[in-house]
Amino acid sequence: MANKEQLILNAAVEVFLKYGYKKTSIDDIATHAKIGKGTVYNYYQSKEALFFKMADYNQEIMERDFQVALKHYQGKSDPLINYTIVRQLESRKMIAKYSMNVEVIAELVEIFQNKPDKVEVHIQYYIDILIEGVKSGRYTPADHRKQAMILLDITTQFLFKWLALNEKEMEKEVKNIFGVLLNGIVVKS
Amino acid sequence: MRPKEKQILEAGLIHFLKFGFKGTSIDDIAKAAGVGKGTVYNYFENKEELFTRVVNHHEQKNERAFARQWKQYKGKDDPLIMFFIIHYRRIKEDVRKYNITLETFLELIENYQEKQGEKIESKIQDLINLLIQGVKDGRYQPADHRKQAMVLFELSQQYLLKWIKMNDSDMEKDIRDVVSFFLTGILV
Repeated sequence: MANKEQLILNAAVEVFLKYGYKKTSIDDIATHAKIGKGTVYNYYQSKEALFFKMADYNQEIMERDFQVALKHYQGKSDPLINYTIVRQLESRKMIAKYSMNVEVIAELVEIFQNKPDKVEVHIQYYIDILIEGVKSGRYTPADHRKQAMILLDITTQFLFKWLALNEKEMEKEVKNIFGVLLNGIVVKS
Repeated sequence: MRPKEKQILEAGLIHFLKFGFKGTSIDDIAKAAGVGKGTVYNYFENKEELFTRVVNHHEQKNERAFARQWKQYKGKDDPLIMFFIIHYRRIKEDVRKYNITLETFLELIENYQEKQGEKIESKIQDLINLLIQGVKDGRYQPADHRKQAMVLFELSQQYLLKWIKMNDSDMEKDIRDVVSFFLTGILV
């Protein structure tokens, strides 16, 4: 990646994550990167194009940290619980690092929810865990896509509540919810 | 209940639902109820008390409606799924009937939750009773029912906004999907 492009993307991560999509202009990012607006347009056609490139770029960086953190967490609890907790913890780190406020988080969540390819990445993670669980004889075979979609939906609906809790409380609540979910309520046939 | 008190409660309900807690004054309610401000203060100490009583009054009506619908649907589906669906149908009926905006709705919920700790406990107790009955019927596993009930209650709280924004049939489908997942579980 060209040096200037790197500069632009780093600036884009900082500005977009702090101020959100709507409130950020190409101008803001150029200023932050200390380069001309025209240079930004040499690389990206529009704010939208830059935003999604920034998202991919940031996702790649986060993913590395995420995998390290997940390894650290392995074996602590059920794999679905570990995964969900580590995702939350990594999101918290990002939110703190870029001083993201609730409005910005809500805006960005909404943007990504409407991008099927972004949602798919997260569904696939849950599907993989579920399939692995069936292979190891731990989980019941089921419609894994449907299960994964609901799991992702639950984490989305609880996101703001979990963010408002401290880490310990958040972990406890994830464990409570997933505990009930894992065991089920109906008598096993 | 005296007729005037009832008039004030009914007027209060309409005003709170339309303008929220902050956007409503005792004056507005007195005018809408066709009584003097002093009369309102004969029955209610302040806006907070009036609000709490309005909510209680409305809840009692709601619970009667809930019981009617519950009887109607009993046995047609899993009790927990029916419980969620009927509960949300009632909320949506209110939203439609009183033309409540999302903003007002959120403001009222916030006020409601602050003041109604014991109400939450009674909802959790309803869920516990359903779970215990399910075990008696041989349908549900014996478990820590309070913990299960609290998780289910939390679930209904966190899904509130999503479900309210959906149309009726999408909402019922989503409730069915999510609650069914909790019913069957994941583990072998």
